[in-house]
Amino acid sequence: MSININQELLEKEICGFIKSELVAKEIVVEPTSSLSGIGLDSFSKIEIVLFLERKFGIELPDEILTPENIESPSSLSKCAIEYAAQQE
Amino acid sequence: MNTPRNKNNQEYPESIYFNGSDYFQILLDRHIKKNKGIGNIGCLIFEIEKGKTDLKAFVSKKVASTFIKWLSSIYLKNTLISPPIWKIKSQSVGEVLTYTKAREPVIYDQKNFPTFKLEAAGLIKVELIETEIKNHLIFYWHHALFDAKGAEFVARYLIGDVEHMDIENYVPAFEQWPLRDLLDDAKNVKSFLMKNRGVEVSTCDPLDEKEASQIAYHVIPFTEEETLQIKKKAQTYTRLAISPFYLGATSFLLQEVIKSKNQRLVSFQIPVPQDKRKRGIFQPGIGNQVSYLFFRLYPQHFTSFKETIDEINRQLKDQIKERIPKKYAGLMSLFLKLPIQVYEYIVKGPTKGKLASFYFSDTGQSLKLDGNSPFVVLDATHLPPANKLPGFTIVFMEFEGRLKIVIAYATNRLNAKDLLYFEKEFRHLLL
Repeated sequence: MSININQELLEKEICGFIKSELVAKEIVVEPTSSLSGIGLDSFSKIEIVLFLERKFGIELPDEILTPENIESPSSLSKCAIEYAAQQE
Repeated sequence: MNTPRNKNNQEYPESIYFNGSDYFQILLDRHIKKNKGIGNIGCLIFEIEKGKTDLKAFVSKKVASTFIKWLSSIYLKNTLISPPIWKIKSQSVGEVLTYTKAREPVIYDQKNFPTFKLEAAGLIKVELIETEIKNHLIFYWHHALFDAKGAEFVARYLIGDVEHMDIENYVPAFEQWPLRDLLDDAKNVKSFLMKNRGVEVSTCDPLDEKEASQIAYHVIPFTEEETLQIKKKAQTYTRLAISPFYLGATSFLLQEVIKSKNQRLVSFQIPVPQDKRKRGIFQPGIGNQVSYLFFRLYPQHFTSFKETIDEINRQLKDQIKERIPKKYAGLMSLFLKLPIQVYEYIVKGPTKGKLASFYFSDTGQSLKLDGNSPFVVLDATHLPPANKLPGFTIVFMEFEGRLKIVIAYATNRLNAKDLLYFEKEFRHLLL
């Protein structure tokens, strides 16, 4: 995993991925946006998790993918950063 | 003839691009008809409270609108020398709406479905049935014209939940696929699909070609509390997506039924549709905006319910990583260039004509209305297209927080005892 990522960067990348790949252009995506609230279903959430794996090498295990951790780009970033730190 | 326009002065187009997924639905239509079924027809039923607004007058007005007239004038133009395309018929296409006053409760049965001919237009029908206690709006559509989301959009328009019709976004744009990428993707997904060539695809009973296809529907409803309980339980098996939990339960129970009939389970092959639309909007409304994930399960994956779900989850992640749905959409668009008979021969080959072990769909909470309608919808049910091969189609849907399982089954494949088993065991596995 890259050591140069921080939560802010990760949030930005996740929001960018959601905007470009998953939601209609009219949908506003902020770090604190609820993923379900902007219309994302469970398959879209899997795509986001796999995006993190592909782009940053962060392979999140199922156990930590709780509803709270995948509530928003911000909560997912926080969880990913914390998990990555534990692995180092 | 003047081209009709909507309130925003957008033109209703006279022809509409066809996509690969629509062509696949035509193939399914042929498959169903060859197996003595009525065709690839879907049905949405809304049970509506009797209220102040006259449903018949309201829906009649909607059906007379330019949008519905235009929609019901769409027909398929398909010749050997040119790719298929949707065109608009200028002549009248007959009645779209029928109204009945009934004393008896409405029974969900495929016998009541209309028949559609793709080349003749009139690919949608609306039926209003008024009983003593409530009204029913039943919307039928040919699945080549649009998918369940597209049907839902029209149904919402009919009962007033959707007011504005943005034709520019409703009609799909031409999909331009770079040929080189398309060929690479097609090669990749073809090898994925051919991995199991020759392996027997198990269905709920052996096929007898002479038998008629008689389809009935069985609904298993859950309360709001039970639905919450199911979602909580699903979390302990599969964190992100609930569909593997539902698909796991279905596969696990169906293989038990197969074994109970002294049949051998060799493999389950299950294509699962994936909505390609961007989230947050309903558009485009015309055309099947879906691709597929393909699950393959063998006897070793049924040692426990958990093992079945774990395997489905593993395959799900692998396929999303490999972008299988996107690549398969590309492959389907490539097939558009083939005559339907050749296409049918290629697609049916790997499964020896069966196509699937069963059909599964998880439509989620999509039937929730937004509150613009003057009507109170008490319940909604999606009856999927089905026929005797493979004889088992299942839809998991949620309306107003209540999960509902709809099983479409061939009456000469499954009996009352099997359905009782499904009812009891689905409750046991999911709750």
